[in-house]
Amino acid sequence: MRQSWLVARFTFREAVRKRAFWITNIIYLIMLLGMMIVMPLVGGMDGDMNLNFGEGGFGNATAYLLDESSSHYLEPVRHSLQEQGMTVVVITPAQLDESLAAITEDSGAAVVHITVSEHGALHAEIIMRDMMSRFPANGVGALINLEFRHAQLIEAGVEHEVSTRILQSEVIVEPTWQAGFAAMGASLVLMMIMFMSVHSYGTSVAMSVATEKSTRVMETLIVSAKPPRILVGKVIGMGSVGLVQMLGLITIAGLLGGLTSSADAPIEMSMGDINLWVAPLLLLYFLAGYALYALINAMLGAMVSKLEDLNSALAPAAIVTMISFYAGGLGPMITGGGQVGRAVMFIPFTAPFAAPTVLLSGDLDTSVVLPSMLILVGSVIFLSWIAGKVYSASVLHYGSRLKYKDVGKLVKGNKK
Amino acid sequence: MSLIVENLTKRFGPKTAVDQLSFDITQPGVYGLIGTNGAGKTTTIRMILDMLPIDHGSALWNGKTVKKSGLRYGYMPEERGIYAKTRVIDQLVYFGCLRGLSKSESIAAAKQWMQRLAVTEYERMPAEKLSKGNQQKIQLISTLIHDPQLIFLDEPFSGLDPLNSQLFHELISDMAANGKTIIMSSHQMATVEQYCREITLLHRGHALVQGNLAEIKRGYGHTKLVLGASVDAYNMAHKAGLTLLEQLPAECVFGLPEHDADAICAQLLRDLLAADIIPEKFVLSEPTLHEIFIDKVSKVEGGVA
Repeated sequence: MRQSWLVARFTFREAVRKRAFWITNIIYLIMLLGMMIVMPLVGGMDGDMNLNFGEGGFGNATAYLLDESSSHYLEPVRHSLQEQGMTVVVITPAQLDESLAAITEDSGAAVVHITVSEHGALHAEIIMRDMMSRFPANGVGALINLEFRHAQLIEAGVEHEVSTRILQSEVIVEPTWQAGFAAMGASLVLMMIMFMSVHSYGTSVAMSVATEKSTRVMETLIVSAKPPRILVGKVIGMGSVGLVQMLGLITIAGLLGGLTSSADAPIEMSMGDINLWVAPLLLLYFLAGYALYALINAMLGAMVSKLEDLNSALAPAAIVTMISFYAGGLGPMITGGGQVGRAVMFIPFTAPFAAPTVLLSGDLDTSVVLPSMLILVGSVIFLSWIAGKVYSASVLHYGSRLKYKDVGKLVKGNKK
Repeated sequence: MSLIVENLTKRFGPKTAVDQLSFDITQPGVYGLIGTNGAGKTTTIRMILDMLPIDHGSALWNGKTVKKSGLRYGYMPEERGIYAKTRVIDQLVYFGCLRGLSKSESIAAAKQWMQRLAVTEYERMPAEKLSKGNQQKIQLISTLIHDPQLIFLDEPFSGLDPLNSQLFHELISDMAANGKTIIMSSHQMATVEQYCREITLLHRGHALVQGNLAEIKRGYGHTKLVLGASVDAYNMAHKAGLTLLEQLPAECVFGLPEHDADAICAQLLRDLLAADIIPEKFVLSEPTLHEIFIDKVSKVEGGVA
């Protein structure tokens, strides 16, 4: 154990000392700061839009209204738009080109062209300058619809008050999440962190093993310590780097969040009714998941003698990671948990990605979590044993990249 | 202190890399393991050091199988391996700790060795900035930092300039004198000849020649005569049945026949003196290790062909 600890400490120190580690940290911090700056701005933008075109009406917008339907619905529409504060200019077909030219100068203006289709249905075309136009097309569209229906109901003999009441009544649908918005966001962020950690630090473990092999340091190392101890030390050392980096970023994010939060923050930061013991469980899933993938990467790294072969050697691990990420991470989220959420928790490769969604959903079913954790930890122990065998047999092999059947033979030969 | 290797065998698929190799080292000193490329030297060392599983046979150090937990041996592989980006002192301390020393012991030992090998000034530099020779010194320090009793040096002199070779030479001689058992694997026969009391000559996994080097040479007898004299003397040597191997400005080297070489040379000397020719040089010599090596390997290869 002392040797594993020494290898872990050395691996940690060497990784932290590298320029790449600090560059990555700086990039993450810049991204974090960027998010913190952009998010309130997005919220502020929504507020501005509401002020101009929401409840406050359609102020500062201009509609060039061209009616070629010969219907009598135009007047109520014009009246209604004006009531909402919009400037309405009724135009003739001859003035269409002039109006189209006018809207190119004003992003808040549009031509509203009403026609009748072949089947007799009314058709309202709203022509705006471009996709960035400030013209409230959806609101205007809804208003035109409302006025047309109102007029039709009146024509059908419905009293004015009744028609108004019918058109104004609606079912208010408001989607809410038991664990709150923050919990859903957190599970997404944790999933991404898990994926990034598995990918970047798993690859780093493989890179470290392959580098030691290609530079022949391995020969000096394995004289001093048993290969499985070196392997365990490497996985622990690189995992510690990932953990320290993750905790550091979370702490900084927390501090920045505390500094920038305000009462009218656009996103509610409450985690709702989530149990406190979810945090240690998530940490455990993170560590076990990382260890599982790092061991696979270490085995694959030991199979190459040249660094240029590493990418192709790691391809199977990358595919497994990708599939597991989508199946485990996004599966329960898209399908809303249930059977899929339970199933992926029992597969060791998908469980670490599924855990954030499942645990943060607030449904902490011990009949799922406990066996899931046991399977995952058991798999890590089993894989450590396998990885130790493969690593021991492969590290002294030089030349072309080992094939899986060759590894099998080497492991078999090493048993003698 | 003894290393007993018995019937050591290693197969890689259909190929037998080392076949029934046996030797024993019962006294401190330098033992030579020599052979062609692919002869099985490195495989033998790896089996003795428990880096490769032994298919058959055994390797015992003081009656016990060599285990890493013993930590009393050092191995400098042929292919040098040090962490290029890591500071010299950091990696030496790391290797020292891995081999059972405490951190303070590792630092003290590393500094002592660095002073001895004149690399103290590079202590805080990353290894990649050192010359090849200095990197080799660092590798040697990492091998010896924990003061091992059994030391394996695989091609220790390759790539060294004459000054550093001399430094290594003194160091190895000191270690041998201080009771260390050193197994040296090398292609440089002159080097092995200079250090090793006993050798094993490996070829294709088999031991071709083994034992005390002086006795091996004696077994061959005198094979050459170096004669420094007049042209008449060279003609007389030729008439006596000696073969001219090399003509140098001041002397000639003659090859001696396999049988009665000493008697033929004695007669030649008598004939020279009788003819009033007093040779400036008349030296009978045994074959060099290089010559023994070529002779043995070519005989085996000839037999195979």
